[in-house]
Amino acid sequence: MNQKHITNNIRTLRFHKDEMTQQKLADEVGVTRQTIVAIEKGKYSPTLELAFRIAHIFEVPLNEVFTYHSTEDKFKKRNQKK
Amino acid sequence: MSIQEKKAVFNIITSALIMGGYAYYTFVMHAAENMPQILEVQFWAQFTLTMIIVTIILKIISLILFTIIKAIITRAQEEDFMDEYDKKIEMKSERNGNYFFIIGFICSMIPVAMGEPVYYMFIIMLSSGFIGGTLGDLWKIYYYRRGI
Repeated sequence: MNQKHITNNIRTLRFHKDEMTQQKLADEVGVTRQTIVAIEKGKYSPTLELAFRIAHIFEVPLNEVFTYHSTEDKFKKRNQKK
Repeated sequence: MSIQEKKAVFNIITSALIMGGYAYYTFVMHAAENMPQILEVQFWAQFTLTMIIVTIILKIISLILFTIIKAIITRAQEEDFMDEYDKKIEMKSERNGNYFFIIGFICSMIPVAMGEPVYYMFIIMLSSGFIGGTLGDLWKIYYYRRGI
């Protein structure tokens, strides 16, 4: 289930970080390589904590790693009680 | 195939073998002594309790064997710990499997309520437990492939 409303630049950031491997990034942030693969492919949205850890490794702000596309987000707004 | 997917497939196979083997042992190999008791609740209670103990012991042994075989084949290159992604998948897949078991559990009461023999209840209950567990593992494979 690809998350179209949240995209990421992890692949690019890894490339600019001396072609950092998925395994190295996974080790740095304390998850499995499979989780990094799932995040890169947009199959999984990480927790805020993991997202911050990834951004910290690349030394960039969070919004440079993950981008939120509000128009693609198909969530239902709750009806406000009057 | 990732280690988690392999583990799920291994779990499905071992569950089927244990359940099938135990059923074969009880109802085919020892049919002469067990079949006359099939209408007794005591027999089914003993069958279920013994099956739970046998399953736990064999699952532990099979997990040890799986770890040894995996270490020999992959030379411990694959990681085997659970992170947030694995935990979320496990929770979701187990929830789906448990839903099936709950439905089966409720359905198992119907034959008894209709006056059918008690073994229908136990067969439906045990089958739904087995199928629920298998579905949970299948959901796990699905979530690892498709994402969550």
